[in-house]
Amino acid sequence: MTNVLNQHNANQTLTLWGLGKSQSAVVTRIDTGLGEQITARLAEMGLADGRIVQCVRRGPLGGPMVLQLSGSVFAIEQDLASRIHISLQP
Amino acid sequence: MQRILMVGKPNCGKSLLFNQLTGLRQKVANYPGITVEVTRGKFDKFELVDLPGAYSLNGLTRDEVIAVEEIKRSLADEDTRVVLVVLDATRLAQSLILGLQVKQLAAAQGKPVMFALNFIDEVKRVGEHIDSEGLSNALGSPVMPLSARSLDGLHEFKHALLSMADWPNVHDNKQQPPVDYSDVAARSQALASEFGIQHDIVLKNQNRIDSFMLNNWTGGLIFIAVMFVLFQSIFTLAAPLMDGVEGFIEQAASGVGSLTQRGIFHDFVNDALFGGVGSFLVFVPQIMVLTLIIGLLEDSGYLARAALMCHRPLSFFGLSGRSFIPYLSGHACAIPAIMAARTIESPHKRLITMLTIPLMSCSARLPVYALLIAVLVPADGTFMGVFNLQGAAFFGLYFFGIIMALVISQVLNRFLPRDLEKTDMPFILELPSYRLPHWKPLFQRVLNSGLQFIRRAGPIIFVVSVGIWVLGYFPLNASLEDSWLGQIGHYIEPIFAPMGLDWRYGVAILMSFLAREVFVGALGTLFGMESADEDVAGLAERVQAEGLTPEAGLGLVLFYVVALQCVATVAMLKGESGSSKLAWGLYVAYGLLAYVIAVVVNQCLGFVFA
Ligand SMILES: Nc1nc2c(ncn2[C@@H]2O[C@H](COP(=O)(O)OP(=O)(O)OP(=O)(O)O)[C@@H](O)[C@H]2O)c(=O)[nH]1
Ligand SMILES: [Mg+2]
Repeated sequence: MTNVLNQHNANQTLTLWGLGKSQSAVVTRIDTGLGEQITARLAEMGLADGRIVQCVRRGPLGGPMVLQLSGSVFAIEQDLASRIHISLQP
Repeated sequence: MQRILMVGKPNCGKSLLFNQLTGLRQKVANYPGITVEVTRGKFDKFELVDLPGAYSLNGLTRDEVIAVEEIKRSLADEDTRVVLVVLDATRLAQSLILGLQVKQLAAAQGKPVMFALNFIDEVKRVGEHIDSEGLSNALGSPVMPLSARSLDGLHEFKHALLSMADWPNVHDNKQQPPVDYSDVAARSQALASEFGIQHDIVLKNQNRIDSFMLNNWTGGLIFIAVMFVLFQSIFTLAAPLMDGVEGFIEQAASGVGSLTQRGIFHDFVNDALFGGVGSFLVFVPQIMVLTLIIGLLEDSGYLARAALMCHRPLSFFGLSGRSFIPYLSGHACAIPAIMAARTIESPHKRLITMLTIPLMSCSARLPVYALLIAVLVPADGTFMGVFNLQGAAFFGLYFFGIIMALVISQVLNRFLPRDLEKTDMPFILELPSYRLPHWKPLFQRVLNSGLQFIRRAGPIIFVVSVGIWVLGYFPLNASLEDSWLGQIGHYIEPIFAPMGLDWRYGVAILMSFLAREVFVGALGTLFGMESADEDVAGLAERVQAEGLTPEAGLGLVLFYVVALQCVATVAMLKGESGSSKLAWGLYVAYGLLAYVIAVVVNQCLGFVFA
C-alpha cells in the first residue's frame, strides 16, 4: 500500500510492480521497449491494454510478484512488472 | 512411419499421457518445463512425438523454441496424421492459446486436430463438469475428456485417436471451415469462461498453501528446512540400507571365498571383484534415497515456489530463479541437469548455469564422500546434540559445492562475454497446483536410478578394478610396492605429495578422471591386495588403519567436490554450449582448481595442526 501511495506522490505513473497484495488494476500501457515478441506473449497471457490484473501476493524478500491471469497463477520479476503501467480500479 | 504429434502448454500432462500410450517412462513432474527435447515413442502403428511444453507459438525460452520449430516442421510433413493438443482442463484459458494457434496452423495444412481434455479427475474432484461436446462444437474438432493419471476416459480416447489417425482421407478434409482467430487471447478467454470451470475453486487451495510457502518468514524457513532435510536424509535414511548391502556383500565374499582354493583365482575374486566392485555397490541405496526425495519435491509442485524465492538472490550471482531446478537435479546427475537449463529465460544466465552445474555434488560423488566421511568423522558423534555428525558433514560438502558454484557464477557473470545477438527474456514462471505425488512412477524411478547407476558405472569400475589388480599382482610374488602398478605409482607420487597423499591415492585419483565413481573401487582393490587378512569388510577401517591425516583427507574430499571428472558431462556441455573449447577448458580448469584447493587445505591445516 505504501508503495502505491509513494508513487502517486512522486507523480509518476503507476506500474504493476507498485500493486499490493490482493489489489486489482487495469493495464493502461506496456512499455514499447520490451519488444514485439514479449509484448505479444504478454498479451496472450492476459497482460494487455484494458485487461484487469490481480496481484495474488508479493514475493518474499522483494522477489517476483504473483499474479492471477486468466485462471492461472504466474510469478513475474520486477524488471518486467515495472514496465507495465496500470491504473487502480475505482 | 506415420506420426501423431502431441503439443500443449507446459505441465498439462503431455508426458504422462505419452507414457500411458507408449509404455515408455519419460520424466513427469509437477513443474512447467520438464520435457526439454523432442521425444519419440510408438503407439499402435504410429510414431507418437512428445514435445516440450509451450504457451504459444511465440516461443521465449529455448525449450519452447524447440517445441515450436518441431510443430512447424511436423505440420508441413506429410507423415503427420494427427495433431493431438493436450489441454489442462483446470487451466483452460492458458491451454487454449497454443491450442487455437496450432489448430489454425493445422487447418491451413489440412491436418486434423484432436483435443485431449486432461485433468478431468481434478475437475470432478471439485464437483465441476465440463461440457466437452459444446467445446468440441465450438472448436470444430473432437474433444476427449480424460485423465492421464486416473486413466478415466483413456480407453475411449485411444479408440477415437486411432480411428482419426487411420481415417483414409485425413488429408483432404478441405471442407473444414478455415479457422482464423485474429485475437487468440480473447477467443481462448471467451471459450474458457463459457466452458471452463470456476478458477477460484481450483486456485483457492493453492493460494492458501502459498500464503505459507511464499510468506516472508515461513517461506524462508520452509525452504531452508526442505533443503536441510534433503541433504541430511541422503545420509540418515540410507545408512541402515547401506549397512544391509555391506553385510550382504561380506556374506557373499566369505561364501565364495570358502569355495575357492587359495591362489591367483581366489585373490582375484576377493580383491578385484568383492574389494573393487563390491565397495561401490554399497552406495546404491544412497542414490535411490536421493532420487526419492528429489522426486517427492518435483511432484509436489514446490519446485516452482523454490525457483520464485531464489530468483532475487540468484540474480545477484548472475543466475535466474529457474537455475534452481537444474542445480537441484544436478545433485542426482549433471547430464539431465545441463539439458534442463534450456528453460532459463536468458542465454547468458543459461550458460553460466550450465558451466556451474558440475559443481553440484552428483550421485557419482556419493561413494567418495561416504568413504572419506566414514574415515574422518566419528560415526556416533552428534552436532549440537541432535544431528548426526556424519550427516552434517555430508551437508557441509553439498553446501561447499553450492557456494563454489555461486562464487564461480559471479566471476563468470563479470568476465564471460555477452552474446549481444541473443536478447534476454523476462522471468515469467507459472505456479502449478500442489499435488500429492504419483507413487507408482515415483517408485519405478527410484528403482531405476539404482539400476542405472550400476549399469552405467559398473562396467568401467569392473574394468578399472581388474586392470589395477593385474598391474598390481604382477610380477608374481612381488609386493604391491614393487609391482608394475607400484612402479607407476611411485613415478607419479610427487604430484600428490603436496596433497599429503601416497601413491595409492594418486593412482585412484588419476583413474577417477575417467569417471569419478572409479575412485572407491580402485582404492578398494589396492587396499584389498595389500592387506594380509582376507575379509573385504570396511575399506574405511583399512584407510583409517593406514593413517590418512585429517588435513589430507579434507583436502581430498574437497578435491572431489570441485573436480569435473566425467567425460559424459563434458560431451553434454559441448553439445549444449556448442563449444568444444569451452567444455574441455572447464574440465581442465575445475581439475586445476580442485588440486589447488586440496594442496592449500592440506598445507595450511597441516601447519595449524602441527
Ligand atoms: N491429477 C492429475 N494429474 C496429472 C494428470 N496428468 C498429468 N498430471 C500431473 O501433472 C504434472 C505434469 O505432468 P507432465 O506429464 O510432466 O506434464 P508435461 O505436459 O509433459 O509438462 P512439460 O514437459 O513440463 O511441458 C505431473 O505431476 C503429473 O503427474 C491428470 O490427468 N490428473
Ligand atoms: Mg513433458
